Amino acid sequence: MQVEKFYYDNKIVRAFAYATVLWGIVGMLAGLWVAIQFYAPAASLNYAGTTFGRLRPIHTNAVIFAFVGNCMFTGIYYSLQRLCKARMFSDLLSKIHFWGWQSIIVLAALTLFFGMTTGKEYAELEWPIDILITVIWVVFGINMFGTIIKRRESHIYVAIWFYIATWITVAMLHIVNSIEIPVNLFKSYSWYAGVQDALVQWWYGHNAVAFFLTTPILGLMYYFLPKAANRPVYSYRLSIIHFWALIFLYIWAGPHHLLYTALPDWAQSLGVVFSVMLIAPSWGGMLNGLFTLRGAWDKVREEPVLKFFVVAITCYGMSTFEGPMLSLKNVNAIAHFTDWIIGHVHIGGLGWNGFMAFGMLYYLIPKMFNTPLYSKKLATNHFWLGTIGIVLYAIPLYWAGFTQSLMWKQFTEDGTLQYPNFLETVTQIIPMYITRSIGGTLYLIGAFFMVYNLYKTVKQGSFIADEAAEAAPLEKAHSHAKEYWHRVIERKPMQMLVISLIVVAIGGLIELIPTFLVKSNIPTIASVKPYTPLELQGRDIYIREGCYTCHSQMIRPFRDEVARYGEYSKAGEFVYDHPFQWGSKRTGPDLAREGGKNPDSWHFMHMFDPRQVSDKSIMPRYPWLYQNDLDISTTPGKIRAMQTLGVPYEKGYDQIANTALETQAKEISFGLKTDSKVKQLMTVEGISNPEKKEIVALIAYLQRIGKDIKGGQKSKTAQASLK
Amino acid sequence: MKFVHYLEKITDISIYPVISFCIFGLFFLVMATYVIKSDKKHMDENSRIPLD
Ligand code: HEC
Repeated sequence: MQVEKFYYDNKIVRAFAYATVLWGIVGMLAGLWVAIQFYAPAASLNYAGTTFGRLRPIHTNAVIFAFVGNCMFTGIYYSLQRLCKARMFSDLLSKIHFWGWQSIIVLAALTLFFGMTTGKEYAELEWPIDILITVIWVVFGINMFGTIIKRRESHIYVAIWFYIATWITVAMLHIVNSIEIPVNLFKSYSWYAGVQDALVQWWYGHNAVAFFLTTPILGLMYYFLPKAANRPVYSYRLSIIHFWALIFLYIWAGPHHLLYTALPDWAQSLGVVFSVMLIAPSWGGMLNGLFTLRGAWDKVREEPVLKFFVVAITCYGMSTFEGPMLSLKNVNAIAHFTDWIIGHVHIGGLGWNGFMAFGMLYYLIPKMFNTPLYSKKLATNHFWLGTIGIVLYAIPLYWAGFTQSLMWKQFTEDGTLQYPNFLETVTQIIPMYITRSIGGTLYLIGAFFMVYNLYKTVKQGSFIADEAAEAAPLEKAHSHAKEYWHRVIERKPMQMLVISLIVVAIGGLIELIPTFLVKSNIPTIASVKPYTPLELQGRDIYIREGCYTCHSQMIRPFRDEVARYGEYSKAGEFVYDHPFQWGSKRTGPDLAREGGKNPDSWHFMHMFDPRQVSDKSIMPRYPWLYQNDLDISTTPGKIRAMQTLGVPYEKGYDQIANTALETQAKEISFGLKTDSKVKQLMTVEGISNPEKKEIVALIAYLQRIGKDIKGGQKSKTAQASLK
Repeated sequence: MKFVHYLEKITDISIYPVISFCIFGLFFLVMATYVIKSDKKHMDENSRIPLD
């Protein structure tokens, strides 16, 4: 048969590789910055864009979608061409994909900085960007499938299966979780409310970990590990099982983020069972990776690329062991809402994703520039710094999480909380936060080593933009009548796509549908009423400032939580919450019963400078809320959007909503002005017309949370003096 | 006031986890049979694709 000559496109790989490095550094810097804010709250600069609540989403989005995203594309564009023995389907689509993705990242960073957010973790981007993501993802899909279809290799190698499953599942997750009602260009409300929103969100959130941070990188592992070790994967059979079992099981595990919450019990149990079963395929994959190196450990000693891969795969094994453990209800009861979870995700993030990316870059750049790596020694130093960094990062956080959780749950002999002041449990673990940020710094310094090393490598090499290759074209398929079904699918990317979709959709559907059918069954608690317009505006400020990154609004039915916060949370309380704000981490106390707990004046003083009210608090200051006028032009639109979502405001209420808003704002500020400390603060800081400021809306919201079922406690507005 | 009580109104809600489990069991068996029965030569060839 005639062999054909063709060229691999290395330019697009190089572009994505550079983007990986750039965004990696940016994302890690943002991470370090938020880490420092834990013990030095002044590092928020008292400026809205750089407070924890806004910077943390910038960090998470940057490392997930910018760093790992670009890493995934780098590896896919490199390996897919070679595994298919074909150039990418279209150079133009490659370029659109690259520039499209980078513009999404820039838009994401800007909008999050300015507080435009949906308030749903890892899906914070507003609707116009969501649409852009969908378009670019489709471009990527066409380009990938085009390449697979014109391939010159009959079998589709297992790495590509992982890419296909990633593509289709991310598309599904993104679309379902992003359904929202736009209020204007920069603001939308989640279509779902409360319990349903939470379930969809964590079905998404967990599977973003699974299908954005795990499956594509496993695909990369199945390509780059054999490449770097120059030997085939340990067991191809095992890799097939790994693939199907993993994608099947992963999709069910989401509810383990919502144990003990108001989510139905059966859904919680389902999440637990499937999470535990996940150990099997995950460890199958890990062992498959490590065994690939059997008898080649001498190579590992010499080759930094392999060193990175070995630690990455080990970390994959550790976090996929820990994940199922954390899904067990009794472990989860301790770990949830604490820093333990942050430690857990960073074993995955720094160890698995980071080290896979570094190993891959150290492998790729020299190859594409036709030169050896500038310095293996420097790369080895990077490896050690990174490894020590991970250890110093994770261990203190496990410690912190465990310690804090025990303190939360500790009762004295006479049955009262041992540490009733939440802050006490925070100050206890400050040293851990400091150590964690040292670990992060080491890791980051290592990454800078890499930047220098790769830069030098690029300088000394000469880039092969189009790499020549040759292969025979595929023969026309003959009859496969006697073949196994799977062998047939292995040749047909579209069938593979459809079957992957079915496999991942089953889990999603079985979980989500009943919860939606339940809608009519959610107990309509008669006393739960829609938010007043002022509270609604205040809630949107709460979302804008990212308070949910530090505060939960979900009291679990535990003795200590009920003692500390009050009556545990009920599903029926959240029916008007678009989006839900249960949160996932308690750096500050739960706020589900905050309404009426402290007087308005307390909040006024506290939000201005938490340390004036709660000594040693690590909550950021929010001085701009006292200067910004509340934008009430959006009120009618917001009310109408809520009406569309089924919130029972009366017909025509949008027109009179602002009148109600102003009345309530005046009432609150009237009360505030009778407080001497508030008056003093207003004079010193030159705050005038508080009734027009954002702070009043936020206070209105805080005073409302959880009150509907609290039995109508009177707001202790101004009468009570400050503690 | 527990949410589950309201959920119990959906008849036989507990069937969901059972169904899920069965689907997975079946799926896994079919896949495992395929993998075990597939011939070794074919597997070895496939596993060498990245290296050629
Ligand atoms: C960096 C994490 C962090 C962020 C972000 C944060 N807080 Fe806090 N918050 C805390 C901590 C820690 C405490 C406990 C110490 C204290 O009272 O200041 C706290 C306490 C509170 C309290 C008092 C709760 C009580 O009953 O004792 C309220 C109310 C509150 N925060 C509201 C907010 C709001 C509203 C926002 C967003 C605008 C916000 N917080 C953002 C960490 C945070």
